[in-house]
Amino acid sequence: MGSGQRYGLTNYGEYVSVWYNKDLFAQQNIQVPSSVQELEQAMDKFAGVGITPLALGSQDYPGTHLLYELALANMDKDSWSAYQQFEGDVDWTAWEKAAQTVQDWTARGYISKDSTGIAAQDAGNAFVAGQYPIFVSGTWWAGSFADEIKDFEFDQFLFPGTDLHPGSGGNLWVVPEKAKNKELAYDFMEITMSPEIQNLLGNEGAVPVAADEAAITSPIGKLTTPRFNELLNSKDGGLLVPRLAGRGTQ
Amino acid sequence: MTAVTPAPPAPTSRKSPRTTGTPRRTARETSRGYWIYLLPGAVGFIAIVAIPFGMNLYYSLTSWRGVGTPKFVGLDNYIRLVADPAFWASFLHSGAFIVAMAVIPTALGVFLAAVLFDYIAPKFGTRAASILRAMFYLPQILPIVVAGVLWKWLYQPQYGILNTVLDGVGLGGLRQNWLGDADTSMLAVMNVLIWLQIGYTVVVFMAGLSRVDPALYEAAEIDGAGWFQRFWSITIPQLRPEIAVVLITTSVAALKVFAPIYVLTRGGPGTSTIVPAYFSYSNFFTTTQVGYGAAVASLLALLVTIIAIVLLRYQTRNAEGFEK
Repeated sequence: MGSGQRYGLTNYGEYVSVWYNKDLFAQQNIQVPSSVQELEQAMDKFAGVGITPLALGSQDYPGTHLLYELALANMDKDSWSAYQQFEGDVDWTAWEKAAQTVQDWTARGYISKDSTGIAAQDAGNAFVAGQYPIFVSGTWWAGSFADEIKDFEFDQFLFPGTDLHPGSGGNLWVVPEKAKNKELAYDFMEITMSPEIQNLLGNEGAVPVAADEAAITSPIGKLTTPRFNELLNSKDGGLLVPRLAGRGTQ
Repeated sequence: MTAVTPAPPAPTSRKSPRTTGTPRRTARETSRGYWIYLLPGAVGFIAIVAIPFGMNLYYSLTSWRGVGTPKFVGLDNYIRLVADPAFWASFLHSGAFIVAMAVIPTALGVFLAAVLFDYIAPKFGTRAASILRAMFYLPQILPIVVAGVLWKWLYQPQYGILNTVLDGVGLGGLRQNWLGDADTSMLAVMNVLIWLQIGYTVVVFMAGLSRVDPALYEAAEIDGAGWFQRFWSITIPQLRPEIAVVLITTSVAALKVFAPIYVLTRGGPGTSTIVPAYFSYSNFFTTTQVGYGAAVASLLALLVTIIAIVLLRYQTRNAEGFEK
């Protein structure tokens, strides 16, 4: 290691949003919801015809991510700063409301009672298999969804009712102070930041940080990259969570 | 009562060399000579156990995020610890894991070893007994991560093997969210640990039984003792040293258990399967309250040491009694 300030470089980003099965939405004649209330109405419609609307793997991170989305829906920029950036006293009622909502949704059948025994990958697989119309999770699914979902159209919308959305830069490249071949490490990092690699990441749906939007032509890339940039550049709200640890360590 | 009765001096007591001059000097020289041989072990112990343990004790007195400068806070972490319900839950669960990793596997292990040794082996041949023993031992060879993945498949609530089988035999009403429901998660994890530990106990006890003089069994059989009588009156008393060793090693393993919890439930749902080692880990690496995690680790080390010493003392006393 070394001492002093630590720096890292990320070559991709990610954000959490709502993946949905367009075919199932069309079948039930449901529009993309623009508020939590509309989302609940949509889920109620699915539950009414015996479809559990939310794919949720609470044995892993997706449970936490949904909870955070719901907490953000009850926060504004100031209360978020107090919680996430230690600026002022935290108002915990946002979290209490979020927990209550998860409980209510489970009671109403929007979330399966089995979700606590289901892993993230199982939830993703079940969404790919068309078993659930909605999956609240991150852009790290984009590539595999684009590859594996063949039987229906899927799309993504930002969690409704809030301008605050969880997201971050990806894993960081760091070069230890005492590394033997620093220049080689810098060269490698530069390669991952080159337009060629960045555009490749974009076309795979992997949300690059420095791609040329015009060069991204795949449907999945056109979905995730501009939206990430839009969130990144937004003044009120936008991307919120500094990345502290690798995914899956919750 | 015993305190007033002076113990008769044992002939091999340490005082005896003092009666003559020469043996005393030899004894001293010998013990000085041995120190060199202790050195490699001591270096390893200091580097791997003593220094990290000392650092851990220091961190447990600080507030530290893992990076930056630790802030000395005295005993604050320990004070917070004794008031933390998650901490007490984790130690309570250690009791459950002693049952699942030490008590039940030992009891079942003695029984299975006896069945394999003097029922299966004579009736179906030693080959059959060896094959069965290998099958019982298999979970011990399997990497714990692999075993965890397999058990998660078995327990998966929607298409897991266990629930599918229950449906298949018409017992769908017994379907459970095995690892995801706080009411069943502990039992589900305990079940995996019993499965994991039995191989170890069976193998040790079978090795122990091959040491027992067959004449004992023959004599008992001639006198008309049934299988259970022989099991109770010969197998169990003869296996006492093995049982003591197995109980010590498995109890210590139960107190330190981490990997199965990490793989199966990560202490959840809630804190329903949390154990001290995982609680400490989650403080170190998830919530990055390193000082607090170090305090948990220190208390855990203290507790494991005390229990190990008690069990070792008990075993030594038993083994001595056994020899007499």
